[in-house]
Parts: sequence; structure tokens; C-alpha cells
Amino acid sequence: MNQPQDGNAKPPREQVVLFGAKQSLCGIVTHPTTKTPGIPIVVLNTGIIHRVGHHRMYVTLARRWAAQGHPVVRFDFGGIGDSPVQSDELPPLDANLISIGEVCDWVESNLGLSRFVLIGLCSGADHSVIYAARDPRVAGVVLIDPTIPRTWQFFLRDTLSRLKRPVIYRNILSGRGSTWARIRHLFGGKAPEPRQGEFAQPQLETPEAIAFLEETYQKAVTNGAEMLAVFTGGHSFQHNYRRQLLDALQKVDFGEQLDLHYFKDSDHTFTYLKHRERLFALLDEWLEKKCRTTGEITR
Amino acid sequence: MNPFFLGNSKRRLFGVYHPPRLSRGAERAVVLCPPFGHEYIYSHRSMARLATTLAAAGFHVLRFDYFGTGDSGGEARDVTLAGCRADIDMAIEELLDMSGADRVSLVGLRLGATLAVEVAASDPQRIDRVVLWDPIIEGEEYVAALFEAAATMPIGIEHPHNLPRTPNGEYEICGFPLTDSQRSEIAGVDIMPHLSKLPRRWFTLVTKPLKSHEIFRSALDAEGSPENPRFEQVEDRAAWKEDWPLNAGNVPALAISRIEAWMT
Repeated sequence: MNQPQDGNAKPPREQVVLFGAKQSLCGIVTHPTTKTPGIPIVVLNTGIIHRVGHHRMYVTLARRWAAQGHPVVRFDFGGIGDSPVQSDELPPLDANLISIGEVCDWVESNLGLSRFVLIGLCSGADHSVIYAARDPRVAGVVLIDPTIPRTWQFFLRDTLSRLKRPVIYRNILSGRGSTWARIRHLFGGKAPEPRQGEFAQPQLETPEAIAFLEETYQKAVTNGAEMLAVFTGGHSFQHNYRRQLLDALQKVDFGEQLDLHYFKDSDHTFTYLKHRERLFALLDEWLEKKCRTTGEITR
Repeated sequence: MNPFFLGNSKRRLFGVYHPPRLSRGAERAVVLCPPFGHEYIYSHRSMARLATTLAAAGFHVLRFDYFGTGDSGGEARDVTLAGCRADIDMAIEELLDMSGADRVSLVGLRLGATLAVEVAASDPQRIDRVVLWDPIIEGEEYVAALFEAAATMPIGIEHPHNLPRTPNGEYEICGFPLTDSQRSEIAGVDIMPHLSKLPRRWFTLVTKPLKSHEIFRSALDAEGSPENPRFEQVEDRAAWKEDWPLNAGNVPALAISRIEAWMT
């Protein structure tokens, strides 16, 4: 890997690019400050937050990686940030996968680099791995809080964790809380049915969903993508232990390609600086471990 | 829509120009002044929607990120209010040049509204109209609100007992640093002395009233007329506040259409 620049180094050059067939996917290319470019990194939107990312995290990361020699692309999917909707006919996922391909094509034809790392948080992670299953040019994916099925061990840990909360016992004794509300609703009371969970939580525990995810992850691995998966305690309604990915998708043979981490004390978007710094250090270490100066990721 | 960088290599700003999609005769132009910190992130969607709405109504519109924010150069700890005002000046000059208009209007949200007022009051000749959208009236009240937001924002884990400070001594406000000098500069903000220097046409739209808005409103009562009020409250979501996951991605359509109506 190229040596990072010192603190007084000139900031990397940043370029606005409109990607895609319609030239309307708005993105920023951060060019490396070193002579030999490392592997390009494509950063995907987190949910509906535009390409800057929560806490401007992706701007910081793009400049950090550019100083280490990586060209970095941050762009908005259609309908997010500054990119208009790309297709009225296609579902968002399909349209977004086409958009990722268009960005990768741009990098290949304009920067002359044909292997990429995709990074995404939450829905961005889901997009990353699904795209990697379809394009062998993806040499690596960084999956931060990807959506994975819950397992029996998840439910056991979740229940034990809930039982440790004093509020449970206060609610039982005082007749408050969602369990009592549900009982009152069931027995014909006028009380409305309480909300199920925090929001429309994905239900990925069906055989069909698990089969889809197993096939997706397996194809990405078979295509040669190295994987760094990071889970946080901030999404404890969906995952709550480090090895949940392996337990949930048992048929996937990750071989030596998966690097798995669980940051229990971090929230989903890494609000606190010390959590971001720990994540950034991990990403640097993973990239350094996996990259050669040619920009390829080793296998 | 045309995204581009403006400014110079030392102070590069990211901007998005929305050309008018309808001819209004004489050229009319609007610069949008975004909020600060985490409020900038949450309001981006609404500011983009406001820009497309105004462009569809025939305005040249320029959105931009202050130095140290969004896609612009610099770091969050580099942000100063004086720098933000200089950035608004730069955006005004850029849009005057691009549009051919003689004057521009400013629409500012939260701290962006306060900055817009300061800029407009300093040189009212080149400003047509000013919209203050959920403006910050008193800096102290805003600083207290930032600390309150940092202590209560829903992040899915327990907040630390004391608000963390970075190794440089900055407070961490919802993922953004707040340096002592930023805090003191923001705390010193007072919008009231600037109002008398504003151009004739300005208007305040509030979705989430603050204590200071009451004082502000009382002070304005003498100025406005029933047909042309200076202050209006609409029942709509705040563009700059997100109580994840309950209202993620919310766009206050009513507030945006009211701003469009007042501008046209």
C-alpha cells in the first residue's frame, strides 16, 4: 500500500461526475494523492441519506482513503440525494444494481482499473453483497450492519437481555407496557394493538429469504469477493452476536474470505467519534491486509 | 440540475444549480442556505425538494454546502459563522453571474436563516426577498438545543452519562464536533438587530415554534399587516429534525408549498 500523506499534505482532488446512461447519477470522485493508484472504492448510500453519509462519515473516509492511494466514488442512487429517479418501471433494488454497474463501468473506462471494493452500511451493505454476487469485478465488500436473519441464539440472547431490564418488572406490576396492551387488545378492550417493534422490521427468517441470502452470499464468495462484515449493537433488534451471520446462513462456505466483527457498544451510524475511529482503523487494516500495490486484493 | 464546485482551491464549495423550468419574464434567482451539523444531513432531502419546486416555478436556484460541510472542502471543525457568511456571498455572486438576474433572494433554514438575515442586512441592495424558515433567533437557545439533541437523539444504544468530547476538546453533537470557538460564536447570535436593515420583502415560516419565536413574533406584530404577515406557523414536520425511525426521510410538503407561494 502507498504510504498515507502527512497532515499538511494537499487535500485530494475531488471531481463531480454524473454517472449512468442518463448521466444523472450525482457523485463525487476523490482522486488518490499517490502516484500508484490502489484499488478503487465505491461507497453506497445508507438508506435515504445522501452520499455524504451520517456525520459526513463518507467524506472523511473518501479523503482518508485517497491519501492512502485509493480512488473513491461516492454517489447517490436514483431518488436519493441529488440523483433523480432512474426508472419508473424497475423496482428500486433492480435500478440501484444497474446504477452500481454503471459507476463501476465508469471507473473501469476512466481510471483504467477493473477491480473494485464496495462499501455500504445497512441497505448499502445489502446492495453491496447482492451486486457482488452478479459482478466478478468486485474484489471485496465491506458490509456494515447488513440485514441478516435472526437465529435461535439471537432470540435467546434477546430474551435474556430484555429480562435484565428493570422496566419489564415495573410494567408487569403496574399493568403498563406493550405485553399488557396486547392482552387488553386480545380480550376485546378498546385499546389499540401496540406497534410491532420499532418499525417495519424485515422478516428474513422464512426459508425463501434464507435461501436467497445463502445463494447471494455464496455467489459473491465464489466470484472471489473478500468480505469484511461489521455488526453493531445499535441494531440489536436484528442481530446481537458476532457469529450470527454464520449461524443464519449455514450453507454458505465463506472459506478464508470472511472477516467478522461485532461492535456491541457502537450505534448503527457510528455517532461517536471513538466508534468511527475504531471502524476506520479496522477498514484501513483490512484494506492494507488485502491489497497489493497493484490494486488487486489477494486471495 | 447541475452539480459543480465553486470557489478556489483553498475554499472549494460544492453547489447544485437548478435552472428555471418555466420562464417568468425577468430572471429571478434564489440561493438556499442550509442548516448546520446534523440538521444539514436531515434537511438535505427537503432543501433539494424546495430547489426543484422553485425551479419548476421559474427561479434559478443554487444550493450549496458551507466550507467544512457536505461535499465542500474543509473539516467540520473549520466551520465558522463568518466563513459561512462569506460562502453565502460567494454563492450569491455565482448565481448572479449564472442567472443574469439583478438581485437574488435568500431562503435559509435554521442557522442558515440567521446567516441569510445577516448577509442580507449587510448588503440589502442585491437581495430581493428573504425567507426565514424555522430561524434561530437567539444563539444561546440554539446551543442549548444542540446539547439537548445530542443527549436524546434515538441511536439504539444508551447515551453516555456525560456528552463525550473529542481528544481536541470538542463536544460531540449528534456526530459532529462543536469546538469552543464555534460554540461561543453561535451563542453570540442575535437576529433582532439585523431585521431593520433587511430588504422590504421578507417572511418567516415556522413549523416547530421555539420560545424565542414568541418574542420574535411579538416584535414583528407592529410591522406586518394582516394581508402581508411577517410570521406564519404551519402544521408540518420540521425538515431538520429526525426522530429515527419514525419519520426518516420526511419532507414537509406544506411548508415547501407555502414558501413557493410566498416567493411567487
